[in-house]
Amino acid sequence: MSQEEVFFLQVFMDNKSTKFFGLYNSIHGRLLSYIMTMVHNQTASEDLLQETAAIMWENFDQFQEGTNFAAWAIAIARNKTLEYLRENQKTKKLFQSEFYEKLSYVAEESADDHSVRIKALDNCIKKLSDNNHKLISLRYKHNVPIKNISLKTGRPISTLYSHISQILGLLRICISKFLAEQDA
Amino acid sequence: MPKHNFRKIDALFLKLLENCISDEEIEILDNLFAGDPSLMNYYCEFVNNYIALKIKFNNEIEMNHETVGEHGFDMKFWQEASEYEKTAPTIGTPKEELQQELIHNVVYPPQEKWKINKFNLYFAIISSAALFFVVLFLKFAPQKSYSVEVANLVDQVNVKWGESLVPLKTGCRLWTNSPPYVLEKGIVSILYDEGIKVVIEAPAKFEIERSGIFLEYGRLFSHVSKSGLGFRVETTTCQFVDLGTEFGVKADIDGSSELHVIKGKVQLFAGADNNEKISQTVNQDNAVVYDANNRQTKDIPVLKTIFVRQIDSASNALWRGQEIIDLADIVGGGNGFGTGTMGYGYHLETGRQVEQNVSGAYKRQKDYIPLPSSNFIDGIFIPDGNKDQHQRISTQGHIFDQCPDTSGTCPSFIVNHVNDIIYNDQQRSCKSQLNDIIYGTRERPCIYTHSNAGITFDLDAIRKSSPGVIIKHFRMTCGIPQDNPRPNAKSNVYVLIDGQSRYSREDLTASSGSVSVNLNIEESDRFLTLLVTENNDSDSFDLILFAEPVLELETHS
Repeated sequence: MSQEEVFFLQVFMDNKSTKFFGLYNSIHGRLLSYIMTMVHNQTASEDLLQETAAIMWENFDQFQEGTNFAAWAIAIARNKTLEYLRENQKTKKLFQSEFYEKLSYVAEESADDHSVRIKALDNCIKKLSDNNHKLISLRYKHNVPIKNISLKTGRPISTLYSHISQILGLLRICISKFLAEQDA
Repeated sequence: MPKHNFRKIDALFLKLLENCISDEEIEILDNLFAGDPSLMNYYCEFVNNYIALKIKFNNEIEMNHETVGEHGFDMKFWQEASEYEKTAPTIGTPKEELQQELIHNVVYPPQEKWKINKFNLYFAIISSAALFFVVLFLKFAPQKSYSVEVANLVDQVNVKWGESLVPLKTGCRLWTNSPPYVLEKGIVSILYDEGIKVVIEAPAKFEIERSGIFLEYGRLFSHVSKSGLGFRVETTTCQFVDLGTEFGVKADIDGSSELHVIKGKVQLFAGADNNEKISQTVNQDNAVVYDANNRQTKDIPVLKTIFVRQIDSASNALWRGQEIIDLADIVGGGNGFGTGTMGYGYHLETGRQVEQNVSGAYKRQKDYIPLPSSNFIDGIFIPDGNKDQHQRISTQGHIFDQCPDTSGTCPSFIVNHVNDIIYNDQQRSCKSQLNDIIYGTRERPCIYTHSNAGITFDLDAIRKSSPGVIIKHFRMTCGIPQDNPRPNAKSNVYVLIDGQSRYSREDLTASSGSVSVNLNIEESDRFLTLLVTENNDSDSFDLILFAEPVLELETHS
């Protein structure tokens, strides 16, 4: 954080907000991953993230400084996501409820610090071919809907998904290697 | 972790996260997770990477103040991307070749602190509550699902689905934008909501589309209703657009495709390269092959019976467009399309299935013997009208009221005849020959029996085994073999529909030659009975051949 940014924070935010903001920023990627893993729906994930954050903010006084902020956040998120899944069991395409119970623990353990993962992506994306890079950018940077891409190219949507998932597979391998190197 | 097709799993995960996964795909994933709990870790890793990718790109847009849009949406790029896609190496298992390619010359930059974005920071300062949610706000454009239900899987026979697909159930809905279906074995029948019926035969790989189907390889027969005009079958190199037809497509992995038009016409567009597309209209009773190697089309003979057009899982029956049902094949335990066994038949005293004819002195034990073991034969009997001339001819109680009085015995079984006719003493035989034509072969089948015998076929059961097909006629040649040891042997032959005589010939002898029978069959006709009785003379050597007894078929229009 630059001196300028620190100044603005000190001038315009109280101590509580500063602390919360700082802590939250450090785990928000992890929290979003956890929620997305559980509800596998982007719109719902956004809503649940906001609701979780609101609850965290309202109850921030109860959080004990020095304890695991991420674990505290994920515990709140777990309740919110399981509640969402219960409410939508009949109207949405979901897995069995036992699956989500188990997944909530696995997801908590696997949710990690995205800063390192994003760093890995910086490297790995450079190694993609131009076409793959463009496709991924078009889809996830410029948010061009798959349907538009399909209409323009005449390629079936399923084929495009297959292509994109191939690219994600390439990135996954590279990221895994990067993370393993970091751990070592 | 057990071996998985991670490429397919990744595609399913991606569709799950982008909310365009079908119920069936959810079930596939459900089963995969149940079978391998460690897959959950893989899924979590997938989501972590997915979210990280989005955050990274989101940060790039904010930091560089980029505007979103369809940048780089250059048609040339996409044409190249399409070509690349066709030739791109497959990923296979995660640890193959790509690892080496991707991590070569990796340079790790110095670790940077996470920077607070100024744009978000200024918003954070403006108001406490609103600021808080703006900081949390991520620019995910909600992704719409464009999968639509378009068809039903209406039937399947002896099916085995490929790879990690959970078997699809009959009656399930089929969606567009699903992963390709791989059919390793068997045949499926799909009915689109617009009334187009498609029958696909393994080995095959296909994808459901809105008004068409993509057939990567395999055989497909399409019957298009009037409301389905324009239905499109696409292979890797060709498009076939229906103009009001029934047609079959055979697609090979090398890109070659065959089109056989049975009814109506089809517009063919062949060639992968837009500059070299061949356009051709193919009419009824014509066929064309597109050779992917030399990129040319060529006329070929139309083959009307190589495609399965109808299936019926209840009877395991297929219909490949054959125009007749062979009743001799049914007597041999078959379905009328050549699945029966030559020589097989039924014992006229007991109804037991037999493997060959054995002469004997078989007596009428019952007035009518039902055959529940046969899908298509209602029953058999040794006829004897006695004094009232009444003979029961069906399980439904139909009566033939002109049945002669007989001895109530029959010295043979009723069989799908093969080879020569052997007599009691096993030392003599005569050819199963009528008008110099030998019967009792696959090419010229016949039912053999002796007076007094009768057999009733269930036309409704036969109709059900070939849905969409109408029985129009019954025809056969029948007579006493011309080399019969007793040239003066006489028999009476009757053909009944629901107990009513539609054909009769009395005093039939070897010397009178064979007779032809040709009857129209109405949709309401239920039971077809072939019956032979002794004449007033002795019943010895009253051999009878019902030669080439067939039902002629026609499809519903």
